[in-house]
Amino acid sequence: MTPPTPAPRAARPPGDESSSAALVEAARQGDREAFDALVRATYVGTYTLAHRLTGDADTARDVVQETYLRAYRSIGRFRGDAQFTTWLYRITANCASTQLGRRRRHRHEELTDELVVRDLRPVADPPARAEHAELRGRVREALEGLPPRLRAVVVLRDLYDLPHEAIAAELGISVSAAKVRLHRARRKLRDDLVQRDVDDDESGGSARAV
Amino acid sequence: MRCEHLADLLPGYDDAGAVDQRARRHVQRCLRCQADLVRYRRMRRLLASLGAETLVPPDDLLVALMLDLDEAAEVGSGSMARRRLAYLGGLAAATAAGVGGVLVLAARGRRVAG
Repeated sequence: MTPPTPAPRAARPPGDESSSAALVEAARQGDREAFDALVRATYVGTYTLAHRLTGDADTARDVVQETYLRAYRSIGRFRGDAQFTTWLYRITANCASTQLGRRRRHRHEELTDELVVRDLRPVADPPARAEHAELRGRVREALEGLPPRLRAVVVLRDLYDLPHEAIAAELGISVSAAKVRLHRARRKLRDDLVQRDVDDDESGGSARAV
Repeated sequence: MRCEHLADLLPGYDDAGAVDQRARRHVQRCLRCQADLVRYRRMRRLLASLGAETLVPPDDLLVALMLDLDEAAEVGSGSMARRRLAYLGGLAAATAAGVGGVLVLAARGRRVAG
């Protein structure tokens, strides 16, 4: 896996919601160029979320393509009472859930991909940055090791800050089931990270994760 | 309340309404649960920091998205054109049937008159 490298702009798509409001409105009125601009502004973030949810590049690609087709067909119904990106996250989560359902029905081995990760957080102190990057790497690995059903809730809640109700709606489960899955996911993650610490201590490693 | 009972609650300790006062009182007195809670909080901070990363998508993804949208737009306008064609075809057929009917009636009228 390629280590994170700094990049200049905010990670979460499309970054500047106020500047995208006019584009969203134009797209709602059927302006194709405005919709294209929204796609260009958001597709990296949408791909990131899709990859976090599905765990592989090919499925993430399918999810992103399906997401924008659905968004294009339904942009006229977007009421603007949520941020455009939140609306897009929800469509992405729904498409990923559908894709994962298909994958469960046609079960095959999960692929592990060489991911190129861009770290968009500025950290001034190089040693602190290295330590932080190592800890994040451990959490990332633990997250990727979760079963997709658990990973989805923790990604949507703890990485993307979606409310429980939205997560439940897009994954097709009840709010209480979403909360239960979230608790299980966090507990499993914590156990995994503690185990990694123990393994690291036994092998004489230096870093302690969580 | 025992630590074992808190084990299922600590993952959601900071979520609104997830933990009652009795459980909170236990955590305030229990070093073991406090240590566990610190681990969860660190983990959640690290998870949140992952939300600030982006993964680099395949080079051709943006082009593929634009082509998908072109196709969707064409299908949309194509179906509109098909609907328009079907409407015009139906109108032409109805007009032809009407004209035909008039001609038949006129021919019969001439035969009766003759």
